[in-house]
Amino acid sequence: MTPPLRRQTTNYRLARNSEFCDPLGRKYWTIQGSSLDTRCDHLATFCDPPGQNPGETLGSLAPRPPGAILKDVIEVNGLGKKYGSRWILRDLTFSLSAGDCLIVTGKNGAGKSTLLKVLSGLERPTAGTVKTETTNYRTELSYCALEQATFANLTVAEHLELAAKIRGIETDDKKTILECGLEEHKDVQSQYLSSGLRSRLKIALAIQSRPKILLWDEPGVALDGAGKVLIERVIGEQKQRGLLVIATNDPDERRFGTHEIELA
Amino acid sequence: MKSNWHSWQTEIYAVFQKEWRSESRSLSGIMTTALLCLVSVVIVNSITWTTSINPMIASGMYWMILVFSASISLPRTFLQEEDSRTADFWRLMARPEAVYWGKALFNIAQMLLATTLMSIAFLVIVKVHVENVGLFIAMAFAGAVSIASTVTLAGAIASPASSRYALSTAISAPLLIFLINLGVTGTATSLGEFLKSGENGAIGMIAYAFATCSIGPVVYSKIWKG
Repeated sequence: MTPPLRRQTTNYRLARNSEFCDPLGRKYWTIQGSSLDTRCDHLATFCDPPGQNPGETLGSLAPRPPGAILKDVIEVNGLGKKYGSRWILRDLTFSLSAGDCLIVTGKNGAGKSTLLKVLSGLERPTAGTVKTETTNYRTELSYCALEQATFANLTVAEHLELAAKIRGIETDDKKTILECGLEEHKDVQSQYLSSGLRSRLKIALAIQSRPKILLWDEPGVALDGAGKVLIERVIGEQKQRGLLVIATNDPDERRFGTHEIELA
Repeated sequence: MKSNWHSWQTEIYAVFQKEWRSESRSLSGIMTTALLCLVSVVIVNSITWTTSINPMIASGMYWMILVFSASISLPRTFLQEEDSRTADFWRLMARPEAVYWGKALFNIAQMLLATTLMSIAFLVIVKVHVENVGLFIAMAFAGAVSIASTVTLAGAIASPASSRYALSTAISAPLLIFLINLGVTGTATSLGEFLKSGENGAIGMIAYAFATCSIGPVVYSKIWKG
């Protein structure tokens, strides 16, 4: 069943310069007076009417009272990311809570994948803050990246075994393998898998820990019809468990979103 | 709930096991090291075929072969992750210290194996007589551990850089010069050269390995991108 849509499309515009966040400065490493690690294991929320002042800021997606403490929240506040002299993301502000599915759209090079990398902690923001309410990012946040590779010489089952051990969790890998349609290929090395099966392996790795936050870059790439069904099921389950942020331009995937932003 | 110590053990062993599995299936690292060692030993033998080689020269050649073989093959454990775009796998799921320790232990194991094979080949092919077998073995063991830990540290530091292979060599070169000096002195003593500080070489190398193994995880966690 298709989830009810409460889509809100907001045109993201390049906005006013955010204050530069110097990595060597105290402000980069602290937030609201508390020590902050690179994953920003924090919480927060805020509001800002969407799109009222074009050119100023991106509207919040879920207006809430300032300072309210919510469960399973991502808060992005004045986020900017610059590569060289080019701003990829600028003054991006929104917040998400449990059950939300944010669809990030935009043309190639707009910054969809960059946004997911920043949210996952793989890239540090040039400006602004990202806060997630997670106590253990290794198990509660998963990022299924388009360009992430798998270990060529490890089998499907060994990938899941390795991931469980380094995450420090005990999981039912047989169930995960079954869910992702990899039972026939569990003893095959990653280098001999097709790109579709490798995508399924990446999905298996992402959902293995049953994360609160799932970041997903172009879910449907290389997947067949059964793979699309898998995506739908994973998205449905993730909405029950936490929230998703999906970077895609595929209309079939956009329909799962509860919110949508377009990067320009 | 797993204890913290058990959790660390599990994570470090998982990284080590991953490296071992990958290496046992591709054999790329150990083959690179073994081939470099063998070719170097054969070259040394062909150069010194008609002349007797004194302990100091033999020791110098022995350590040059070990160091250059190690500095080419060992940093790959870190550098290759960036090339094959699997580094994010670790950054998303693992603790940097566990990744460092797992890879460092694998490199030490690989270097011990390579050193054993290279030492046998060196003694047999070059026909060097060992006066003090115990010291020779101690130097080889200490050398393998200290070289592996030093080169691992250099690889870990260089891994986020764009020109990581060149940087890794540039970082490891000055660190290894001190080790070569200790190693040459100790091994020359074991081969019959009378040097007062010979035995201290093994102790110095173990101390060096201890230092690099101690600071390695700390440095790596500071440059960890995740």
